Amino acid sequence: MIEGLFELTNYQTAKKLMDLAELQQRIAASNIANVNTPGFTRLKVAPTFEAELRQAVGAGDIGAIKQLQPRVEEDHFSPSVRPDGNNVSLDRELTSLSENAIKHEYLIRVLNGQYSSLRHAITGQAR
Amino acid sequence: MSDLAALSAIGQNSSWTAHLQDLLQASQQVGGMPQAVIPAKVLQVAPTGETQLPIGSLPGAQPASGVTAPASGNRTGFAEVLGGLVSGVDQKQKHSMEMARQVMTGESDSLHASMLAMQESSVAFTLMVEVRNKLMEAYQELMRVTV
Amino acid sequence: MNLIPGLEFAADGMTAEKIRLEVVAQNLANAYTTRGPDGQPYQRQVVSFEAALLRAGTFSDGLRQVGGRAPMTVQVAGIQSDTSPGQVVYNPGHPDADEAGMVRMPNVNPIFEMVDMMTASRSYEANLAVAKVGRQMASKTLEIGRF
Repeated sequence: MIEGLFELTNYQTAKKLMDLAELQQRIAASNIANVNTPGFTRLKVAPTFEAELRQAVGAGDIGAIKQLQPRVEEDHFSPSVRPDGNNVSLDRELTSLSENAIKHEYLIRVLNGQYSSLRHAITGQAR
Repeated sequence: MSDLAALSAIGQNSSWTAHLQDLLQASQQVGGMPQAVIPAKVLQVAPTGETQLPIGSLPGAQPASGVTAPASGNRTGFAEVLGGLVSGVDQKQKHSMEMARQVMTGESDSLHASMLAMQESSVAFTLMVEVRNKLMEAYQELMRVTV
Repeated sequence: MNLIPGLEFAADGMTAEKIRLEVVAQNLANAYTTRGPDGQPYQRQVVSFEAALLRAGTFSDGLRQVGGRAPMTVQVAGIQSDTSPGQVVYNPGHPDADEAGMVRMPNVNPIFEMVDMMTASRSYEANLAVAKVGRQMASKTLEIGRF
């Protein structure tokens, strides 16, 4: 019964997306640190993760959601390549950094809201 | 933010309440056991695992004499449900303590996993305490029935 | 133990850019040094960066990637001299002029150095932003459960 308490699509999706947000922060940090490294190819999360997550959420398959793991891969299609082969664009990395931070904070609010609702439903008290 | 579009509507309070009601109803099914047997079944509950949970010592409970065991082979009695509840909460607590230990010793650097585990175990514990309270109320109400 | 995500990358990035800035400052200071300790004009120093793996093993334990690339940090591979010859100017009154009155100047172009300095400074600030955002994320994570 306790396990069933948290087997909801929204909740598990939020948890998984939170893992993703932390990973993307690390990847952005790595890309920005290497903005001046010759020949460095920027890294990104494989886009298959998003597609698979969307599919699992659509199907309501909680087991699939829990098992999803994002993959980090090289991004060879970045539009800004410099002569030394480095294709990190500082502006794009910085904007994705702040967007990721907002996403992360939003997920925290989602999770907090769910815990709050859950406690409310259990105890009948607002806080 | 496109992958956040995969999240459905957030303010689904009603779905949480319905979800919980289903769970609580399942725990309250006694499946036609005789009333006199209920106190005995409640008393037979022992906490599983190494948790020190108050549920094992329901206040005011004494062994009722002359109580017989349930006649039918009904498996979904209070004892099993409470046992399952206790072991589920125990698992959550253990997981939460393990995550906290890993963060503290530096083995893991996933803060959010530890925080989420703490919240889950806290909610699970709250649920168990509420179930216990409801059972106690039900028990006391039954004891008030004058024979 | 990297509870703040991305902090080690940001720290390494800041260290590397800081070294670059120091080398640029040294180059600019010696832009007109026609005679160094070895009797030769100053040779421009160039910093080279390289990507490197993080030293400790614990990266994102909560998230094991299935056969993916590990994020890399940056380190200074070395500081080399730029051996390209500097300009030779006609200045017979100069103490270091040779018999023909020509002076070999250092191969430092202040404009290039200024551009390098701006790039290094901007990159430094970007790494600082990474550290700040990471700290904010970790701080917000600790508020899970505090409605």
